[in-house]
Amino acid sequence: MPAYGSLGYRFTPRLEGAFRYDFLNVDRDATGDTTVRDLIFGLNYYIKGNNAKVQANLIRRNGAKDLSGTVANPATDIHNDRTELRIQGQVAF
Amino acid sequence: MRPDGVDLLPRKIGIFVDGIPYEGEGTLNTNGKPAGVCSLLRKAASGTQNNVYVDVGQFKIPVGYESLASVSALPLVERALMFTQRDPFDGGYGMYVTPAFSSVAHKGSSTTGLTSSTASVIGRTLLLSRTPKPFWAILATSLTSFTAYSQESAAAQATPAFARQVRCCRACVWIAAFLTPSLPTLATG
Repeated sequence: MPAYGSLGYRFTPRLEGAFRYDFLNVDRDATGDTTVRDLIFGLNYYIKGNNAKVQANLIRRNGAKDLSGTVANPATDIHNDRTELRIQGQVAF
Repeated sequence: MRPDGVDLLPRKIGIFVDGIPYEGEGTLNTNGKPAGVCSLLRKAASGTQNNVYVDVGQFKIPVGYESLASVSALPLVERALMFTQRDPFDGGYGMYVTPAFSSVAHKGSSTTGLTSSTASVIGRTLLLSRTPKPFWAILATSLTSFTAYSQESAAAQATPAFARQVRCCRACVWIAAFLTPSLPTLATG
């Protein structure tokens, strides 16, 4: 069962803040099932709308262990907790 | 380009029959074999609320705002996990047939570790229109599509619960079709 919710707010016509809570559970009742949760904080600066903008995302990812078993299994558990900073410049023409 | 490296080239044709234009759109891969066909029936009068057409082929998965919005217009750098990791095609493309369910082999993604390689069947139903739509019609169609999309577990297909959900899906589609003057159009980009 996946789900996500996003929220954005433009502080000025060029500066925008964004947030997303992102959840994913592949829910296959199989070995290797996992749950991932992302908290993403974004800051966008629009130079010329979506044709020229700079985006920065701070991502905190929490990945859970294999959900098919109650005991931790190093062979199938996935631990991908991490914090990322992504910066993207976009020019469209 | 699809994730499997096949180039898709759109081709369109159209004919008029009794003043009604019929448009067809085919998709070819690099080997020249048809990869998808889109047929379009549109009434001659523009702006009518009764435009109905049927699409069969490869399209973006019609679930959620981020799935349909152009990637260049997203407020965040990447789409949500349900589009980037759960999509069995790893690229936002899927196949659906109106109004019947279609079966698509699941490719899996062993590199991400987020999806298993278990085969699955995905069914989608959708009725579309090119006319403006009310918000609740968009919501109804999205929920219907999502319900169908969620039927991905191969093991679940053999259960009575799966059969009930399929029937529920179909019922939702027909209720939406009867109650709404028009339903959402798939965005591209």
